[in-house]
Amino acid sequence: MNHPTNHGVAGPMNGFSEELLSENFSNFFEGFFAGLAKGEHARVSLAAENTHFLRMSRGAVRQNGVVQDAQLQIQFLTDAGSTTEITLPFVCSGDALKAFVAGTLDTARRQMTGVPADPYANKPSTRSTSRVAHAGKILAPEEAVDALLGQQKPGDDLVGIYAGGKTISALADSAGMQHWFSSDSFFVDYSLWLKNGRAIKSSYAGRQWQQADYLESLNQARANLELMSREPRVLKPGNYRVFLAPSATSELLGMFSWGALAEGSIQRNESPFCALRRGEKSFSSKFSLNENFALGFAPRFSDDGELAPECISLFENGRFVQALVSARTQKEFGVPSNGVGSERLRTPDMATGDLPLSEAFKALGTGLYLSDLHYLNWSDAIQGRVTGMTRYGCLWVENGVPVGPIVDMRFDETLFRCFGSELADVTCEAHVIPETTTYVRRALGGARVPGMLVNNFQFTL
Amino acid sequence: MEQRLKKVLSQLSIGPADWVGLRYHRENSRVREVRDGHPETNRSSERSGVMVEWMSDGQFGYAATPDLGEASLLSAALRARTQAQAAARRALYRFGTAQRPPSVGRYGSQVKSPLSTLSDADYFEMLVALTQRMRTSDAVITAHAQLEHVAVETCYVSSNGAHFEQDLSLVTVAMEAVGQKNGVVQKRSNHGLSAYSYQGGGEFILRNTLNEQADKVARHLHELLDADECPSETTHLVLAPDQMMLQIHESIGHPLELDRILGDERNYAGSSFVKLEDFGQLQYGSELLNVTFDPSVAHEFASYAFDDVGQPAKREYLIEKGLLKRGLGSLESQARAGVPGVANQRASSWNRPPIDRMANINVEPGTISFEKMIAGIERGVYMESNKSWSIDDYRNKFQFGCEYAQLIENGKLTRVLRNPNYRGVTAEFWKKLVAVGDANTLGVFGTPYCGKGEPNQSIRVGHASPVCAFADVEVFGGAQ
Repeated sequence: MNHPTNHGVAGPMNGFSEELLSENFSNFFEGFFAGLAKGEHARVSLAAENTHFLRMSRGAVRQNGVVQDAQLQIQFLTDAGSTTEITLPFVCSGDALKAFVAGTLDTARRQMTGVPADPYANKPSTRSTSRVAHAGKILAPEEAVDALLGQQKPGDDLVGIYAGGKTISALADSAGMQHWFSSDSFFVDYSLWLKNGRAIKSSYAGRQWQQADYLESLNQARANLELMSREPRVLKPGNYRVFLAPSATSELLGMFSWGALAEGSIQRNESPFCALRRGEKSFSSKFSLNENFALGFAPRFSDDGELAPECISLFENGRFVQALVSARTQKEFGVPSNGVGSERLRTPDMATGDLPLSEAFKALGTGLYLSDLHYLNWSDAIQGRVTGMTRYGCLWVENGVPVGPIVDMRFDETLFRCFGSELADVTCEAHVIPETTTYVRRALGGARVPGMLVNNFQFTL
Repeated sequence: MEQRLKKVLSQLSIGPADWVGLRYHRENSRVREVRDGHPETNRSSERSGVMVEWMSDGQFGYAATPDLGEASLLSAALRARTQAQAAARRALYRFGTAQRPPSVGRYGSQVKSPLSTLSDADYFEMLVALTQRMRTSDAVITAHAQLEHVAVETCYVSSNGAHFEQDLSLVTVAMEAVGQKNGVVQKRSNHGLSAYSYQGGGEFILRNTLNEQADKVARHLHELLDADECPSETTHLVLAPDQMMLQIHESIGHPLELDRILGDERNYAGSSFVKLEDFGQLQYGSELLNVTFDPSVAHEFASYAFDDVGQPAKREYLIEKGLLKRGLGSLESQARAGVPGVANQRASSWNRPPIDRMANINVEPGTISFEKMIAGIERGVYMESNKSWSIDDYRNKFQFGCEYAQLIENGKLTRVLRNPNYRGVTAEFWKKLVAVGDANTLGVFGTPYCGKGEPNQSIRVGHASPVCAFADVEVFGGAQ
């Protein structure tokens, strides 16, 4: 596991220049591809970021710092079917880069020695190029503390994180594919808390920081917090009519990416959507879902060198149109790829319905308004059954009037009932739910989802 | 690396009230994965960089970079200082050098047999054979085997004299098979999601051991395909160590993290039903329950000598005879909370700041043999290997699912049951602990995937436990 690195060589990270990273990335992949022998192929991708993370607790700064990062991923393949992958820090330039290229190529060849062929690996085969750069206005790191915490009101207990800066995702392959996607962006993912332990969750995200918009978000959360001061209602387990706010709908949709919508899982009979494919189960005609890159949250290309169309129809008026199919699955099972790479949703866009969001309480009548769900997992994956908890600003509603918060409940319910037989209505407005995951690096992506009215939602604890 | 970090430190102009630390973290991993006899992953990766922490006016700021050149590190130090100064105006708490002790020392994983003796071809031959071994009939749809080796190197120096280095060697072997028969689909693995995780080397990938595990996966999978659904009833529940691992993790480990109790995690991982005044007072479980924080177990996954701010790590009782004694809180959390803690301020990598984490959290063995435990139960369900986990943000209302179960009838293990699940409430569940197995029932496991923190961090933890029995637990099966 000795990798070619260039520790100690001054590189492009010091000032984190997108131009310098782009130039060094081009120099790397051009040098790498030039070094390939006949019958060798490669893909090179870059993930880089310059992010300010400001963590807040009880309306004050808990941790404050900046992270610069740049990682190269190299996929190396041969006509004989051998493959390997190498991930390395990308910190060098100039003459050091030439040695780095040569060292990486040696490592790739060595790492494949004696490894059996992968019959489902895909060699680079198509030429395409794109360059997208979303410029924005991000808070300077030294200004963020005051911008985020400077206008709190007495008693505000704000908890959460601000992440802002530039993210870069790029891909090149030896067949001529070259793509670059950079974005200045930020999110504030936060919650406001009362002394009684009840809270409202909210977020503010975008590419252009507008202080007035952030304060408007805070004021809306403060207003919603008022109801949470009432005595929480203890409900018995059982079936209740519920309204799932867009953030709660988004949590349920997230389970589609836990193997359900992956064609590979369907082919191996591991997915609950096998029953949809066989026609044994169905979703409501009110449910339509696209993977929609036109939203601009994520690049169309994937690290696996695939390029998705701008929009992929997955469900149309309840009909299961297609799953997410990678080139690997195409090769293994013969189902045509739709260019999605990982077979997980990156930018889901659920169709709206007829119910105005402003009439959600009235349409619900008596039941539960679910603002947020928490810690979802399969309780029976093959049957599409999901368990999870209510969280934050969930309310008990009587005759169309919110009464107050609830003591959080555990649900155990199938996707086929939520998006199928028990789906009563869908709101005519959809909200953008920003991707706020930051494991290893700041993730790209986001969802656009409406709210849903669902009958007989099952609570167990 | 030590010399470079010290040289950078010597070039910084650090005020008398300020403090600076540099933490180098390099992680080399090698992942080989085979599905149904064909390679699926053949990957190496390196992640390396330095996090500079600067404390100014009682507030830490940080800057992290993968560029290890001196100019880069000096620049990072100045950015860290800027962040500390900006944050100090609205700091949550005023810290000091007491939260960054000047520890000196070295730690390394005990490796009996180096992994370098095997070639790539050897590893893939072994993994191919394991997948073939699990495909014992046409009912097995797919079989998967993965081996990951990670080498972690850290070096830490600080302006108040800390210097320690730690080298970890980590091994994970995951096997899983999926089968289908008469419309029933089941999965079985070697101890659940990546639970076969240890510090060490080739001694954890011995061919005979892995072959036995593959054979057990295949045997159990076929039993599950012919099994009845787990019944729905309130009964005795007996948990194997590879499910106790999850039970400990979710309903003891997380609720005892002091940063959750202090409120820092309320926006992401969640809070805790435990309050600061509960330490030394709360009867957390029955008197049979003894739980330790133990970073000194030689091959357990999360052993170390120092946490990532330099606090020396040692074994401590968290719960003794059911009484809550100590929280999982670092020097920072202990100062804020005023309750005793442990050495657990850990970072997932060079680019994330250290926070309160679990390490090895273990249930200590009792005195009863497995046979006697089962013999004493008239009716119940015995469950192995976690496959589903969900718990509320206060770590109270949980629902967990397992891969494999057997009915207990009149003191004997009888029929195999599929889709076993159980649910409960933490504050009541541990008081229902009625038997703790002896040291012969002890199992040691781990996981690379404990998620927490803003920004998010996934970290390695270890859990050891004997077989344990609980009374009056709600168990149930899958959807009909």
